[in-house]
Amino acid sequence: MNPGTAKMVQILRLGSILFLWLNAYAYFSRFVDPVFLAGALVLSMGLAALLRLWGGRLIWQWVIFAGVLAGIRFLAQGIFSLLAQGGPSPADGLFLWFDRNYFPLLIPMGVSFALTTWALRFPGFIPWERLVNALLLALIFSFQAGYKGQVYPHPIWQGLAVALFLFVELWMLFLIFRPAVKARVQKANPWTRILFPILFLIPLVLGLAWFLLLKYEEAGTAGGGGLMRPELFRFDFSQFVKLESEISMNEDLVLLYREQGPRQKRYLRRYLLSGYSQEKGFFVDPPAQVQDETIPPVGQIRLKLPDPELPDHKPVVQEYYIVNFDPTSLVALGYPVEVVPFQKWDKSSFVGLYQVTSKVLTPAGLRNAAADPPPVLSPEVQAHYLNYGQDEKIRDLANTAAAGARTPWAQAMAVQNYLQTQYTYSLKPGVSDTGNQLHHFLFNSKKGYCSYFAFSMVLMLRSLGVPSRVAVGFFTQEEEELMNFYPVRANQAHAWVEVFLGPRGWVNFDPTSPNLAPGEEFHFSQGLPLDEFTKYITEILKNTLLEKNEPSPEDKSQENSWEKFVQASLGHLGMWWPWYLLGFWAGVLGLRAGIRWAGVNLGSPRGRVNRAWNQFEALGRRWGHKKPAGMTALDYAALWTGPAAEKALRQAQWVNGARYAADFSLVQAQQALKDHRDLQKFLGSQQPWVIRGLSLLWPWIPADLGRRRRKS
Amino acid sequence: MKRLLWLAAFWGLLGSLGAQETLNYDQWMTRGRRALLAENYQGALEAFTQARKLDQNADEPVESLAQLYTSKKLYSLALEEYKILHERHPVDREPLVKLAETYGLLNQNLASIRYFEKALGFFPRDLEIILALSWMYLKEEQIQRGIDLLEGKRRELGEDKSLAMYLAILYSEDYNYDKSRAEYLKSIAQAGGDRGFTALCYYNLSLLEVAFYRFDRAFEAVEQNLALDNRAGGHLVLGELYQNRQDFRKSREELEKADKTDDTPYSKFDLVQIYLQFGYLAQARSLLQTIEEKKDDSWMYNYGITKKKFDRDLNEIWMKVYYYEAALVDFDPKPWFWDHILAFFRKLYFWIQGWFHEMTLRQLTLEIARESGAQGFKTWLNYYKAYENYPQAAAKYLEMARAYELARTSRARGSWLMEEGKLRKDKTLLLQALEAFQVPDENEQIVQTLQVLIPLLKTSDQEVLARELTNRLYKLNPGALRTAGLSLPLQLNVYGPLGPQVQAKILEFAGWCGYSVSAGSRPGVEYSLNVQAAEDGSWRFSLKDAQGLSVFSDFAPKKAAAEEGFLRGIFDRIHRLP
Repeated sequence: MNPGTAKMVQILRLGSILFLWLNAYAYFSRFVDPVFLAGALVLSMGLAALLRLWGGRLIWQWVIFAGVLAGIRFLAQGIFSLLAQGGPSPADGLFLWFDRNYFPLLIPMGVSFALTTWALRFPGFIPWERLVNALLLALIFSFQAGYKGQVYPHPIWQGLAVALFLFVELWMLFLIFRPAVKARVQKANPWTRILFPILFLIPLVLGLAWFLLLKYEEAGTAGGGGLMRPELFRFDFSQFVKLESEISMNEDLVLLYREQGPRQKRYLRRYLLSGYSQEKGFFVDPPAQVQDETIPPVGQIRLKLPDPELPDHKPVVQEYYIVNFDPTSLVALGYPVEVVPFQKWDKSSFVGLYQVTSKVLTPAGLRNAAADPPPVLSPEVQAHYLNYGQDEKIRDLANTAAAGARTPWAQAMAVQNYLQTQYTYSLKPGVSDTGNQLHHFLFNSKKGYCSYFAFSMVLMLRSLGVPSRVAVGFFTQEEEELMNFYPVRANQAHAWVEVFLGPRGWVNFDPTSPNLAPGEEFHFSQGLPLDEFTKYITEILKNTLLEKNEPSPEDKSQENSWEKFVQASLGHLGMWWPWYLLGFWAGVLGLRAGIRWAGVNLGSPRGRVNRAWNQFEALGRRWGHKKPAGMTALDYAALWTGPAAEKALRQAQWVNGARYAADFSLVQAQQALKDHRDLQKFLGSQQPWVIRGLSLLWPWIPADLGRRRRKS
Repeated sequence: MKRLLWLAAFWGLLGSLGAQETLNYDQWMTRGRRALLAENYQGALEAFTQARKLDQNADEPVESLAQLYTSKKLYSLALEEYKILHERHPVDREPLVKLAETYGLLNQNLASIRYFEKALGFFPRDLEIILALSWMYLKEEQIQRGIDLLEGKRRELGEDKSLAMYLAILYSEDYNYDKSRAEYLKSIAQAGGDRGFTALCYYNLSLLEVAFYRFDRAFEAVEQNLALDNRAGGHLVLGELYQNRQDFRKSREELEKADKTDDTPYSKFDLVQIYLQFGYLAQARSLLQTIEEKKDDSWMYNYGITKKKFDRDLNEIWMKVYYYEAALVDFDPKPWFWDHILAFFRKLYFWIQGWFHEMTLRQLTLEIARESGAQGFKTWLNYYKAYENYPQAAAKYLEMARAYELARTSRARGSWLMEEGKLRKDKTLLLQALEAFQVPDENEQIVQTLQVLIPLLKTSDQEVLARELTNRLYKLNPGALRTAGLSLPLQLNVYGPLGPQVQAKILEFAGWCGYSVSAGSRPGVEYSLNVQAAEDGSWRFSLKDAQGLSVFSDFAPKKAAAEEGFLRGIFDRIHRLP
């Protein structure tokens, strides 16, 4: 590395470390003043640089560093003590101020000192420092428990920050390895030019992405009570539900639910899981003949769904204000018949809003369902809803639980009651010795969370010949109602059972036991903090709901148009950024192609040939023939060997003609350009197909890579 | 124009959701009232909003909306409505008072004071406004202004029981025992047959007596309170008095009674304290989480506390939880070097958590002290608490606060000796404090003093005295030992054919955990752990005091005695209430 590059690398290192700790600052901003943070980092890195100049053993450098830190505190305490002499004074607060800043910064200072010391002492460590930085960044973000925006207010900003960080880190790698690559190119191993960045870039990016996604997934699964999975920056329910040995729950607000009328507990369904296999558990698998099990996404326009027109069903209008959930995922009660998506307003706290009208079984209908005759379904559908894996132990248990019950209703009630009373609720059902978690629950531990209960009830009912399926979604807590709004948090994710009772369709049953397993504690959500709830409700009440397919009022759209544009763009970017990235790159390549085409097809004949020559020189750089400044065209052509030499010479002659001949006609120019195209074609044919393919994406890729490799 | 377009769009949408109806103002209001009765708040809201649209000058829809929001505790929304009413009727009493109250419910006390003062300007003889304003002065620690207001109004309006009680509260905050007590007695005398009011006076009187270390009188007052009105407040004070005596069972019983009817987190808070003091950390944590889950802070309006002070108290208790957890790590068995490493990191984890809560606590305390503006006992006390870790800065505030309080009650001497001893890490002062406390009403302070004093004695080679005081601490509160990093000094006596093996096993285990156990006698050791190890592997064990009286005894069959956590269970049991 030459001194200039080394300086640049050190500046970038400094920026990178500052960036890392600025991200971490969100965690201790309550205690640490930004000026103190900046000072502490400058001190630790400056001290590392000074000690490097001094030399000495590493251990002594650390001793001095620790001594300086301790000394600073000692000195500060001494000064503050002097200032605190006499009566009460504002200086008394300096002790507390200093310690509140000093102690949280010990770790950042230590890490910065360590990294800088190593980087200065062992330049070979600098590439590895990139990896350390990536890990540190991952660690900082991993504390966020699933991208809830603690460090950044929105995942997009976090994405941009990570992109910036990666850019700086990769730039450093590029600067570090550029001389090495050049040297190696001269030693006829140009693969190094690509291999070095790839060797670092791929593990770095993949490692970081893997770690972040893993943490994201873990946090999402834990937060969703084993039911929810993270989608791109949002949560949604999994279409496959397995039984976990342990889950935890977080209290993040997922959505606000609004329904008029007296407060009541509701089951807001996201998915219906009717497919079953012992290996996969329950999963989404709607039979072709059954329409109501296919959940459509919430789109951009009003959606009408078929009304089953069942007896004792009344329309219920629900509104969903989505905070941390996939806004296209439809959540609804009963049989949804209409979905109306709403526009978001400016600076909305919600990622999506929609209204659903569902047909819901009335309480009277529920009572009537008890007397309904057994359901009749087609044989295929019947077989689908009665698949219980032919598990005899479960069938025996079902017979015990529903002994004496004659009708499907009575059997469902009996099984529900059996599970609620004989089993207990637990977030730690434990691990089965045999690998069969459901058997472990039913016959051994007798404790589990909602999925265990729902799985068990469905399989037991199916073994008794009662069609049933698992429903997953959220439940609302009636005591949390405020102005007809109900907060729904991640720990309200729930699984329950729908039983087909004939004329009145599918009816909800919830077999989850209300009794906690002995010795276990569980805190169900106690609602939102009133301030937060009020903030959301105020926002909703102050804004009007406009259907998505309705135009916004003209005057409103002019308000904060720039902010609105940025916000809308960011929101859109959040969902589609990979495509935008690809599109952007395609645009760059297209623009380049257009400029090149225009260069040789437009303008004066001399100009066209000159520009064609420039393109040839650029192509030459790809082939390892960089034209030194001052070299003539003919001398440059002489650099080429083999069949290309003759073609290069012709190009040189053409460009000399274009530059120096008294007359240069369009016909000559066209001939020159024809030769230029021949040369391009020829050189293209000399490249391996891999390089040709890659050059479509990255036109600056070394073209002689394959040839040299074959030679070597 | 914009608004009209918005409203047009909004109502167009509503029209698309249901049948479009054309109702007049009265019909919308009627519909709103009916919707309220049917708990259809959304419908009520829309109906009142529609009525307001039809008659933009009408007050009734605004009032209805304000009341609806207030009833649903949406105070910030209610505030906007009351502001509208106040703008329309700037000299009307109701909007002004509601505005002031709503600010108070939102814990914006200074704004509340501003509006109450404005209201008082218009209605200078309105007792409700006078009392509410004086209460807000109290909350904002503007004690003298409150006293001046009430004294002035009493001269103007004459005697009143409520005025007397509020004055008593303010005098109590001003550390004027005699005047406060006199006012309480006056208010009780004026209460006539109003049992609820009299009970309230006795409740407040009991708080005064506690603040001035007159525990016997406090007991009397609180018993009067409970006899008149068996509600949460009385049980709460009684629970705290028993807590002072370190009577765990009675204190918990009273606090649990209080908790049943308490709409504030105070009783839970006290329960957490008592659980912590007696070493029941899991219960304390669980209850603490329940307190934090209480989302509505509007209860503070009726109590002399602010959100910041409550946050400070919560941080203090979390700090204790984590520091206690860190102390308990020392008593985990650590047979291998690796266990020491793990224990170190576990302890560090708890310690860091505790430190963060401590820093928050100190910072909040400092802010409270600075914000109070006035120079007085509470301010100095807050400064002292904020700087407690820095004797150079804290000592002068301690001196001022102590001088202030001791000038008013000599009964505070023990507490101040303890505070100074803690600050200066001075054994002599702490020993003097032990002598100065009232027994049994200040047992809690004795326990706190011993928790600081015993480690100091240990580090200065006064082991015997340290053991003797540990025995004393154990008698007062066995759970307070380990949370202070202490354990009961024990003499181990093992009998039976398996005696030597069992003795070696217990001593080895005690060594791993850092318990103070020896096979022979040591000076200052009063308690003995006696184990009868039978040939069949079963154990009969007991803890005995110096007189040979059994604190507890038990039998463990072979299977139980062979279990991994058995010895740990015995030591856990020793350090809990029998």
